[in-house]
Amino acid sequence: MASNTSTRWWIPLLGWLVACLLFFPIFWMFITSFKTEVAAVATPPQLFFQPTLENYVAIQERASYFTFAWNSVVISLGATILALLLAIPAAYAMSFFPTKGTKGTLLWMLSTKMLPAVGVLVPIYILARETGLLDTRIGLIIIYTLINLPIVVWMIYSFFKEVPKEILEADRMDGASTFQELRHVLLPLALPGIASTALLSIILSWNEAFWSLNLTTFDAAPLTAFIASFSSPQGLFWAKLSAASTMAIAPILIFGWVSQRQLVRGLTFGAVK
Amino acid sequence: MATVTLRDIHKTYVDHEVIKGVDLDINDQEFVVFVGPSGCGKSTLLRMIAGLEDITSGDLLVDGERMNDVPPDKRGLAMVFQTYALYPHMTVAENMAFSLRLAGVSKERRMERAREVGRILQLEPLLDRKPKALSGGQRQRVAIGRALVRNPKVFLFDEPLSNLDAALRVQMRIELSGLHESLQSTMIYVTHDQVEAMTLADKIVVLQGGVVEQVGSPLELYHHPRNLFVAGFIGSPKMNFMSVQTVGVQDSGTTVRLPGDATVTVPVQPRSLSAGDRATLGVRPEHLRIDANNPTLMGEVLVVERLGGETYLYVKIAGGDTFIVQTDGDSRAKVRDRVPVAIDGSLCHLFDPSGLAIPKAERHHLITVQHHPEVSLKQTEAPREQTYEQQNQPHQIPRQAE
Repeated sequence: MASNTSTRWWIPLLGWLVACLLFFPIFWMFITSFKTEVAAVATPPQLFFQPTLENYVAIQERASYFTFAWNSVVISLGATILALLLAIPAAYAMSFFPTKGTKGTLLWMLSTKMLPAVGVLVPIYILARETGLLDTRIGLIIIYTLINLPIVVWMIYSFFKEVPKEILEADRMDGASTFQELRHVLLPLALPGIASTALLSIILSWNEAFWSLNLTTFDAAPLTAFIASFSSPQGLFWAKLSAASTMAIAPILIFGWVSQRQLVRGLTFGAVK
Repeated sequence: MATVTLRDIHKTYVDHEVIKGVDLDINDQEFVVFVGPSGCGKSTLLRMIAGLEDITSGDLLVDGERMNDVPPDKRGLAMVFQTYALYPHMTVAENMAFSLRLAGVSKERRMERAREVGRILQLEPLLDRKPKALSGGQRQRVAIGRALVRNPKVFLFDEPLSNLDAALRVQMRIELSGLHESLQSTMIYVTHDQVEAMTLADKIVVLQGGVVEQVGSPLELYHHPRNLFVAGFIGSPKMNFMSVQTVGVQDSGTTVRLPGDATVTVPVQPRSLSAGDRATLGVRPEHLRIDANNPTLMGEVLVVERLGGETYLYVKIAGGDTFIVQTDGDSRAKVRDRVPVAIDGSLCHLFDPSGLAIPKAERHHLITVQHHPEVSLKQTEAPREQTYEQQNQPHQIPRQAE
């Protein structure tokens, strides 16, 4: 044990180093949002400065943050709920009633993620225009649902796979219908997994930029469009851009932090053996 | 009343047949145990009865009613799983009452029933706990309780004790036996543990490769195994076999010559063997004796296993076979000793070249004694005679008179 602790001292150090590296851009963005435009581009970069809120004020004057934020909330939640509604039955069928084609279907679903989004930009744009879904929340919800569906199905599939088969057989012996089995046994058991899947889907939807920039103008534009609107043709306003980005990621950051516990909790322990 | 009848049951997975035509009659209140080596199909057969596996062909009847296409919960059966399969997010009481909840029984009635069953199984103080806060034996009891709550016609047990430690297994075995006594319901039990099979069963079904090798009471299988497989499978340590030559067939028995020229007369019916035929002699370790006065053959001790109460000697005999001899715990035998082994012909079994047992001239005197005399006397006496008649037909099991 003694040799273990003395030779493994670098592991926590490495952890901290990686964490700092990952955190640094966010930290820098956060402090830049309180700098003046001049201080933001100063060389050498300033770590200590006179903080100001003028960027946040300027942003509020130029655009309505809450309109964008509300769009983000509606679209992320809508896409996540829709994806879960489609994915749970699909994953249920694939986990517990697999056929010869199940593995192939799963791989095929994942392979759609390998296609560069820009490759289907024109057809999807035209489809959205023809169906009147351009610059609507429904349009983005449908697109995001379809984008995230493969990952959501994969994750729920793997969480369902962890539920011992005998428990489902036991509930069938007890007289549970398919719906009762899902409602009373499977969903409660897979809840931590479904929660983390939902969280991931919300984060992915929240951060998605390509489709939101291309398919919305103002009515349905989420926070990603809000950030992009600050990289103007007259040049980059780093401080204002940082302030906008900080405001855009703050809700999702807080959301992730609050739901952390749910993500790591295991429920199936004690079911078997 | 609950009888279970299997008629020519088959199970095929894609192109692989795992159950190859099983016929079986299980009487009301009977405790039937399926035994066999891993992969013999015993669990599959149980799951087919439960409704968790489709029946490829054949008929499954419960109380005379065809159940092939009836969903599991409508068959009136309850199952206890090897892994217990408790619902981890529910309390003990909720676990036990889940079937009632699905059936729409009111909460008070459900909890009342759970308490009632909890009392029978001594789970009362644990009713509000979750499964993860229970010990293995307690979880097993909850699993049994969940079956009990439903008041099933037939209980199905799939190796229920194999996840428990040895001491607990013995205790649960006795509890199960008591439960069967008090409930008087039909039970079907799958195990690979011989001791469980021998002690619990009214009737043992020995399976191998998807085929029923023999059906009978524990002592019937022990004293009158139908073929080499059953003879070797039932009994521990397993029966010794040696190749012998038939020298004489009389009404009183068949005389065979052992390697090393000794002869033994086995009291079997004069049937398929005639003088000059090869045959297999089987004798259980506990029926061999070390006897200097009356030795049948001499052998060299290879290994001595001392269990305290008894000693197992692995003895190499003439002809090269190794016999296991069970002798008393105080035996002074040592490795490399030459020991005289006495074989009592009346305790031996004789098998023809195809591996089928030559029926014994007389039935063992204990065989009519069973756990439930009032049931077995009227229902199993008649077929027993049939068993006798059918013993030379491979892979067929006796049907009960209907």
